[in-house]
Amino acid sequence: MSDRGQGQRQGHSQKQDRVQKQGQSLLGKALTSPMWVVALPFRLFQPASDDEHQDSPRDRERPLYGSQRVAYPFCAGALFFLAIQVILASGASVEFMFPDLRLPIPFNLGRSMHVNLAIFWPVLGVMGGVYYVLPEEADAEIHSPFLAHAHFWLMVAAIVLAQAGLALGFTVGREYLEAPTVFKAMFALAIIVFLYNVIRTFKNTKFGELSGTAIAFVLGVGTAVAFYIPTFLFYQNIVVDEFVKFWTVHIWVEGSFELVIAGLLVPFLIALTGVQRERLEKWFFLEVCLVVATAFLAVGHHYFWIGTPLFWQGVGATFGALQAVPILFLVWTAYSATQRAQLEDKLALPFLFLMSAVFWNLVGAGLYGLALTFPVINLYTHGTILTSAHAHLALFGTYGFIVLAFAYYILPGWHLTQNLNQRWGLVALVLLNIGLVVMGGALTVAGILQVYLWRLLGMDFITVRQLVSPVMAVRTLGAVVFAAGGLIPWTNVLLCAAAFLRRKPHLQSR
Amino acid sequence: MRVLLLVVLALSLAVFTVLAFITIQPIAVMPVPESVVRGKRVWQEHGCVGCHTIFGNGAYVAPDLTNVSEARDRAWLRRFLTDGPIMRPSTTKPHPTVSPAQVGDVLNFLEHLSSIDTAAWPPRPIISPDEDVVSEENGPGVEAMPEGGGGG
Repeated sequence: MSDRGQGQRQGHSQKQDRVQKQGQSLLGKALTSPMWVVALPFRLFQPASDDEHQDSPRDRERPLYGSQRVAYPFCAGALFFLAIQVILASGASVEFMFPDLRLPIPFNLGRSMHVNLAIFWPVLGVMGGVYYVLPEEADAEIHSPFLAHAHFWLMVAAIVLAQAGLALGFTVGREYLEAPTVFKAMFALAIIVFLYNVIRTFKNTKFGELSGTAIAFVLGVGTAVAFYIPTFLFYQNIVVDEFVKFWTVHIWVEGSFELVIAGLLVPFLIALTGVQRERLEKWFFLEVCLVVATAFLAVGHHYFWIGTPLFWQGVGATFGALQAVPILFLVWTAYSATQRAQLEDKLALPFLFLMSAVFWNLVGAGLYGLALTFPVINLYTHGTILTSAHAHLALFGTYGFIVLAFAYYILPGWHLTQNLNQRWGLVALVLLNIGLVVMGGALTVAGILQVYLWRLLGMDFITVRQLVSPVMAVRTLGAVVFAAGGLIPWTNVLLCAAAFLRRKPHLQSR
Repeated sequence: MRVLLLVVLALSLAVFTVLAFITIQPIAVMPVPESVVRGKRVWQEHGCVGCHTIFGNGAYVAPDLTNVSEARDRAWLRRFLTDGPIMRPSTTKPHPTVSPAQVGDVLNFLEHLSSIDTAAWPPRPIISPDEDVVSEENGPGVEAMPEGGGGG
């Protein structure tokens, strides 16, 4: 066995021990039922123990590598931009209900900011997750922590400037790609720096010794860059424009980052549940193979009605449907891990966020997407609120929750956020899930009504919009609940950091 | 397993590249009139996709404009785009306008859209197929057309 493997195994063995020791005080041994979800409300309302805000043994011992610390600002930054995004989304949702409302940012620009952030903040968080597990996967420090910090600030600058530009009306006017090109180029440069850092970190690892996670990282980030840059160009032909546009919207979300997320899931499940790597990796490789086999061609389900050849309907429907298979593998991977986990592991906040992500990946991305992917159905549902419902459930449901899982796992290791309040995190988890259920449910009902009244009966679009407004009011209520949940993690970080800085003289000696 | 993964990736990307080439190559060589390109730029610079959709892609708060030039004549659309009537369901907010110099390009762009074969999308209503998707009195999402025409 290689040194890397031994070191990694040892690290994971230590983690398993720590995981088994963790949380003895939280719920007691009485709740040993596999119905661990039932225990969640008890966890929420259980009186705080004196030591709840102290570092757990696991917290004190991590990170295992010094350079893993570069992940902290990525996670905190992701939570900050999540907060901004839910504020923007809430504003747009309220304006939809009260069309005469005049907000500082026009609806079309606010929506552009919202959908751009919907991609940017999870990317930031996912990169934090990658930096965190990278040294453990490579059994070496990150190649250049300096580059990682530069990468972080370049991304933050690109996101902030892109948002400011959009707020001021500087838009490229292509959905999900509205940010001015110069800022997208900054973002691309940041991803290239990231890719370089990831590859160089594995420089001493032979190909045959690379873990599945490492390969998934490189392939995911590499394809993300390759498919992003062509979208910067202005295409005179609208069909070509739409064709290329989905290389980011679809291939990023359902291909590149699906690979990275799948890669991250393995080490995080190992860390959170103590399951053996071998048990997960045999499924993981099949899952990743299926992702790369289906994701690129499944982009065809966006090409049904944009003026491209008809063969895309067959390609898109076939591979779009097959995309559900790797999601099932992912669910199975997570399920396998939970079978070996202790009850207290299952009640740990990052694990609950992770399971939320797995659930919404199956329901929001997999099953919902499958329902809309066949041309005979898509003909009537495309361009309706049903697509919006699918987008919300799939994008936040999968990537949002998984980034929150990473953040709540990683941030307690940072001196600024070492006492991150897990209970408020649990409140955020509950509110976000309830908000997503209400929003997704209301959008689905409104979408079905819209399909019937607009598509089938041929009623006027705006008349239908007004008719479904009571259902959309329920969506707005869900959005408010969701926004409350989305604001909590960043507030949590801010308060935690402020408390630390107030006590700084005392804690500096730690 | 690692090699298999790389082989699957290479095959998948190769097939995608071939299909993308087959798709784009014949479309890309078709000339697009300069005016249509200018109209597309105006469409993008105004952030129209933040409310409307084309080919069903975009925001869902205002009507899809893929075939709007078939539902409305050129003079009607010209007035609409230059006068900025109040947008339903709002009672106070006018539709953003384009300059008289730009409106012709935007109209050409919208007409170009309706000439694209979208495989019968958007679908005709199947329960009352004789009714038009846009009411006769009002335009796409407009309370009432203002009096007078726009210039340009």
